[in-house]
Amino acid sequence: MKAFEFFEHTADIGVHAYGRTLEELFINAARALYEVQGRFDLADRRMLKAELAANSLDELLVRWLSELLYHLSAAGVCFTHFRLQFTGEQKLTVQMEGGAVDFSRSEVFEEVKAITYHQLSVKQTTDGWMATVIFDV
Amino acid sequence: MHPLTKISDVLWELPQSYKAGMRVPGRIYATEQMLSRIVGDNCLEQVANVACLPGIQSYSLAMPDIHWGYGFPIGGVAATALDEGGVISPGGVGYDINCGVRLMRTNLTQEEVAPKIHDLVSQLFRDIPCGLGEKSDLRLGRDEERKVLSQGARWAVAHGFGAPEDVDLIEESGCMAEAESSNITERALERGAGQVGSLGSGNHFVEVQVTDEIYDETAANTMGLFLGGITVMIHCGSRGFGYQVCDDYLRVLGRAPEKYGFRLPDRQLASAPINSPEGQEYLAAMRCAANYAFANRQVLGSKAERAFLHALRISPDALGMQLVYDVPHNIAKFEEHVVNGRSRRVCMHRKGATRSFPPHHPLVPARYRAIGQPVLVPGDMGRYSFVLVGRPQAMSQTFGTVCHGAGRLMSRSQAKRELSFDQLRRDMEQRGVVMMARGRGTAVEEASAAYKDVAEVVNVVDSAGLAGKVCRLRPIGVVKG
Repeated sequence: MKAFEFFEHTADIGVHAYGRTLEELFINAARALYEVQGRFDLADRRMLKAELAANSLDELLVRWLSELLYHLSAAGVCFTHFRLQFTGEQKLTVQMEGGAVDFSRSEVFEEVKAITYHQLSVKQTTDGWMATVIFDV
Repeated sequence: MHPLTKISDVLWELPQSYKAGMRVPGRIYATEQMLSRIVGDNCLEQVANVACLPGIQSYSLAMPDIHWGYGFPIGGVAATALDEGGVISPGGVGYDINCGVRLMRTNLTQEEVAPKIHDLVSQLFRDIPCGLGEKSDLRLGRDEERKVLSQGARWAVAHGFGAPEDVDLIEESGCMAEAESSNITERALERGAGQVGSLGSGNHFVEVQVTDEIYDETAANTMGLFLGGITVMIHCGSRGFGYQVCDDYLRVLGRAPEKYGFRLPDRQLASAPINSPEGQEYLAAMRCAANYAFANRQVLGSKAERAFLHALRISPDALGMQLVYDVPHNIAKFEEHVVNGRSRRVCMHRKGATRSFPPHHPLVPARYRAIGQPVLVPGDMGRYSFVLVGRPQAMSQTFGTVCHGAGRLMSRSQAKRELSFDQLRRDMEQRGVVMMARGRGTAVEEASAAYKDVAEVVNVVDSAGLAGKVCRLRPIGVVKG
């Protein structure tokens, strides 16, 4: 099973992410978010716990990716390892491990400005789960 | 076959019957040749979706650089009326609140700058933080950052960036009133603290340009532009601060349609009645982000001026760098417009669209009152950009609005598949453009071939009488994130 693939969008970047489980789906969507932005070399190690909630599963995906984007944008922190636990359909507890990006030693691509709601979906498939999300760049 | 009705050679109507829920028809400014791309790009659906917004007046408008966005199409324009339950939509502004363009003129000629263009572009690239992870050398404490949010470009001038008279040459005088920062989240403040005076990535740029064609001598003279003269153009917005404000308020306004009893065809169009608490809070926060962007472009302009002085080792008088104008193209604001024969106060949403006010309009700065408001339309980094001035028909047809750029021809992934960085570099060299970019992939996505020809776009608004061409600016140096 592919982890994710990009699809054509005129001005921004469309992503289909896949996973056998919801946890895997969310982690693969996170990897797509980082893949767009660069290959990061980390300068230290950090752990973070977060609890996220939304009105629906697809909005929870936006909350999750926006959380990662915020840490990269505000503090230059990228996460590489995740432990996710869904508590109900609309709540997520996550433990993340990563570190501060050493931008001088990283290959940077482009900054994702935001995770949009346009054409957003999270669906169950015969193989597991599939998400569609568009990143504003 | 497409569902559009021809109104003129450059204007097409999407009938209200096209989609259930449309409250007004759509109107698209384009030539027949442009239509096939527009129809194949999903953006007609977005024009129709915008027509479903409560309180929308006259038409859901699209400029000739229209392309598929999220929520609104890029190049989408909507006026919503306060007294008809009109809504405010963050989707009609975008994440990069008050993304816009600034143009500065100089006394220098191409002959004077060309021999030193490599040094100049290197200096600009060193002095202007660009690309992901590059922070500004300004790190603001919370109190100082809140001053940026309330004062806009005036904050930058007070801190030594640019001249006091600059603010007269910025739309809204560089500061939107009623910017209320008490509801701004800590996350937005944190993202904004280190980014005033940074460029970002994507389609943002700093360009050194040469005026290579003049169509309106009087207007060009008034702006200080002359054939062969060097200009600087900057395209940037409110950086992480604005993105976070939009994200924060999409969550708040996402629940508003259900609360206030209306339905919208796309969640990205999340809206609230202008007079609702949610609508008022978003407007106050959006104005803070708009002011952040005005301050950011003012600082960037000043950094560009210092880079010129340093690289060229000339005096400020010899350089003669002066602001021509600064326009937002992602914004919502209240304006007076005549609708069905009567003057109304409407909330103008311009998402990838530029205000284009005609001569003698009271909001046009005194210096330009006789010629109309300067309209800055960047093209792509290999060809050219245009300066236009507002015309009276813009007021009667498009709520005083025109296009904002070329519009993409290729998706970003298509550009990366079809073009390489080395090809791009050779192409730019052949065109006589020195380019420095932080991210190779980003630069390839921004190649000329990935964009429509902006000349076709501006010719549409020129022939529709919405704005008149003043001059063309050709890049010779480009800094990209």
